[in-house]
Amino acid sequence: MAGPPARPDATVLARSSRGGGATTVVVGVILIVVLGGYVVAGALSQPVGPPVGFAGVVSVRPVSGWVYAGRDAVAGAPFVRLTRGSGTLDVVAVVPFTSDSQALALGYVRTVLSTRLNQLSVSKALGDVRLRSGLVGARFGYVGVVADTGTSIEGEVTVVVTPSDHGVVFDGWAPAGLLPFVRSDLETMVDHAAVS
Amino acid sequence: MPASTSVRPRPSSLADGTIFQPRRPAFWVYLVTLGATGFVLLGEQSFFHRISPVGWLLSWGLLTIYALPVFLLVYVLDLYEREPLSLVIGATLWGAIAATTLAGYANDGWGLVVARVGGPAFAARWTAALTAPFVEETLKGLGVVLIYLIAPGEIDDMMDGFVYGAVCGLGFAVVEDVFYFMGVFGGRPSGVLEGFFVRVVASGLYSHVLYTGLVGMGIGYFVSRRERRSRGRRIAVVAGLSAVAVLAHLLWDSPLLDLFPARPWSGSDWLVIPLATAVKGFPLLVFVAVAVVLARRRERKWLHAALAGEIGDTGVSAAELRVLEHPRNRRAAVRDMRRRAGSRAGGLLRRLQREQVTLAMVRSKVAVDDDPALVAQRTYCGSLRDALRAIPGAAPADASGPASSDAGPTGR
Repeated sequence: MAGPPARPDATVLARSSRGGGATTVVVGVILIVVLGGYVVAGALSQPVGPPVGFAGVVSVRPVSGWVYAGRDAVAGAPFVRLTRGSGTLDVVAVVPFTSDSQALALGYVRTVLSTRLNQLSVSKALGDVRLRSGLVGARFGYVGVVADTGTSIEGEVTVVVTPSDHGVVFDGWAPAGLLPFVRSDLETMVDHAAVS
Repeated sequence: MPASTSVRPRPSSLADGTIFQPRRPAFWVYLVTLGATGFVLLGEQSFFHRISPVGWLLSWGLLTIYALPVFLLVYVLDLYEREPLSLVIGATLWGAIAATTLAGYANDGWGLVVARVGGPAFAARWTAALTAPFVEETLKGLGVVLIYLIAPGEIDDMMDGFVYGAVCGLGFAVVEDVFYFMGVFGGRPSGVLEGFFVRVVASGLYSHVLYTGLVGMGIGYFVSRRERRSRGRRIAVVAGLSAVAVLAHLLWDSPLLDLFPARPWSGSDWLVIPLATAVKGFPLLVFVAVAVVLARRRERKWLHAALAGEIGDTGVSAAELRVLEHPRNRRAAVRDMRRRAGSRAGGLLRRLQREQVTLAMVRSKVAVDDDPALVAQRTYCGSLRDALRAIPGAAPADASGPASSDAGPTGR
């Protein structure tokens, strides 16, 4: 008698293997899918450009895609600007500055943000942040409408006061809704900034 | 022989039957991953509950009303062989707990890459489309792979893969919907109802159930046709079906063909929304429906081919096979038996039909006609038939022999 009809999608009758190799592959794929994005993004976010800033106070190396966009002054304090598309990082030097980071944050809100933005709303609490250099600063977020253009923006400000009485403000901002897409770059540049 | 003396053949390597397979490494990977991600999910759900208890309860209530019928529909799609419930529930939990939680982290990570490469304006429009389809279909598909590695004997055709994939996608959709109702639509009852309309009433036919059902079909094809199809062909099929799922998901998440009215919605907008979702989702629904119909037709042919050689032996008669091939006829035969001979006879007939399907599976998997597993299954079917005939009113008037008669107890 001929052999039995093979099921069109017949599976193997007996499987001696317990699937250890395949299970290892599954675990590997899970790790790659879950962690791979962070690894690749980290590799793409390394500082690559020449440092910009203020000698003896602060210097920032732009990560790939970010370019130097000039320098100016705001409320008497000089700043340099880096941009990438609609994302912007302003690095403001306040020299000398003899108070603490909370005072620097409040001063920045009063003298810069509240004069340039309408409908300004600032996060209620200051968060602590530690830079790669070991300096401890404070961070807060804000939303507002640019008085000149009517554009809604959102931003994240990091302030640091050094032992040598230098105040530095990192103001990263973007049009409303786009900040999440530049935040990683902003935080990488701030984290790697050389503040003295 | 009374039914109580029928001894079921001991389950062999032909089927694993349950998700609890501690000897298989995949079981522990499944369990550990589910446990770890479960903690994260519990924290998230607890947070949602705190910010809006009523909205959170309403979300789960509405989604249960949606999910239960879909679960049952998917579960009964496999015509002949219902998958073990523990495995089906296991696949659902993987989609609901592990895949959603892992996808949350993974989407964020790959979203950073899109933002790095494309810039913020591009990322704002395309991040969801360029991350979620690849991440989520992979993680949900891995759930089906794990189910296969835990119980390799249970995925033996494309429909099995579809069932596991679809319920995995259903679990994912439910938890994702709760996240959207609470996090995107505001969490208040009015927001939850709005979210339910947009994501379930208008879109519920098109989403993760279909995507992962397709991926599962591909996996089912790959693992069940080792002996008949080349590895290249099997890879091409699983890759092709997965690609269709990913592309459909990508289209859904992308700004392409986006006919959604701008918020806030009012008046005719509520009519436009289902049309907008249909434009993106309906073609995939048709594609999956055709694939399922073809797979079911193939299953029917397989059943006939597998059992045709058994006719005349103790396992199945020609009349029984004719009934067995059509689920509607099977149900009618059971109803008729119950009416003629009582509920015990009806239950016994259903059991006989189930075991005859198992006979087909055993026959298609063994190499020789006198394989002990095959002989045992034939004998078991015969003993069930004998037990059934012993019940007054169950045997047909012309029942004359074991299964050689053209009209066994199930014949109509």
